[in-house]
Amino acid sequence: MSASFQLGTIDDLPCVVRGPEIGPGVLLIQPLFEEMNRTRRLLAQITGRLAAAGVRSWMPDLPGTGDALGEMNWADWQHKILSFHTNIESQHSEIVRIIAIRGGSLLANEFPDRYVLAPVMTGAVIIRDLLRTRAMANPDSPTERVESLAARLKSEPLDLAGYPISPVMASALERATTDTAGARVVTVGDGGFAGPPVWRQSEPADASLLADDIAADIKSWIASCASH
Amino acid sequence: MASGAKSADDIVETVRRVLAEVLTLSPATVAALRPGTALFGSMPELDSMAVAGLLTELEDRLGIIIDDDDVDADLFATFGSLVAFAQAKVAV
Repeated sequence: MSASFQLGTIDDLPCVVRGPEIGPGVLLIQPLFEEMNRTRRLLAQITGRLAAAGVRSWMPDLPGTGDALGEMNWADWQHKILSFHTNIESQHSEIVRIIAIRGGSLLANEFPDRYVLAPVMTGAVIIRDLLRTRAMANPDSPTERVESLAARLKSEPLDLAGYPISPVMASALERATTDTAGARVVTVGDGGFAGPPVWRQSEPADASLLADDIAADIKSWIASCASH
Repeated sequence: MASGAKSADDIVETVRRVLAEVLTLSPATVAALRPGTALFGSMPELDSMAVAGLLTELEDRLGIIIDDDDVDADLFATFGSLVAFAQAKVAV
C-alpha cells in the first residue's frame, strides 16, 4: 500500500486519491455501469503500483455512480470530468494526464494527454450490452427483447443492470464515440496484454499480473510524454 | 475490435478464450472443451447474465453482430454449436 490513500470529495465528487503529493499525476476515468464495479479491484491495484512508483492518482465517481449521489446525465458527466481535471491540475505541481478505462474513453476525447485502456469505441455498444443483460434475465418475455426494450427506452426510463437510464441519457450515450487519435491505446486479449478482461467477469478473477503490466506501461507512457 | 480475417481454427480458439475469460473457467475445464462438451445447463458458470457478456465479447472479438433471434438454448448447447454459430456469422 502507498503511504498516501485518501477518500475525499473534490469538486463535489467522491474521489480516491493515492500517491505522493509531488510527482506526475493521473486522473482515472472509470468504466461505466457494471464494468465499474468489476474493475474496481484492478484499478486499486494499478493505482497502488503507480503510487509506489511516485505517481499520484485521482479516481472520482461520477454523479449517480459508485458513491456519488445525483442523476446520471451525459452532458453533466462531460462537464464534471473537465472541471474536475482543471481543478486538480491547478492545485498540483505537474501535468495531470488522463487514464480512461473501457467506456470511460467516451468521456476522454477532449484531453490531449490520454491513455485509453481497452476502450469501448461507441456508446451504442454499451446501450446494447445493457439492454441485452436485461433481455437475458427475462428470456421468455416478448416485451423484454432487445428491440422492444430499445424502442421503450426512446420514450421511458428503464432500469438496466440496476441503473435508471433515461431516454436523454440513452440517446446521448448512443451517439458518443471514442476518438483514439493522439492517444496511447492499450488493448487486453487478442494481441494486447494477456487478460483476464475483468470487466466482463461477473466474478472478476485476480488480475495482479495485468495490473503490473498496465502500471509499468503507464509509467513508461508518462516518461515518453514528458520527454517531448 | 475486429482483427482481420480469421480462419476456422482461429475462431475455435477465440471462442475458447472468450469462454475461459468471461466465465473464469479453470485451465483444466478449458483444456477439456471438445465439440461435444455441454455448456448451458451443464456449466454452472454459464447463467443468463453471463450469456449477455459472452455474446458482447464474441461480437467485439469477431467483429460480428448477434441478433436476438440468433440466441436460443441450442446456441449454447455445446462448445461445438457455439463455435459453428460463430464461424457461420464470421463467414457472412
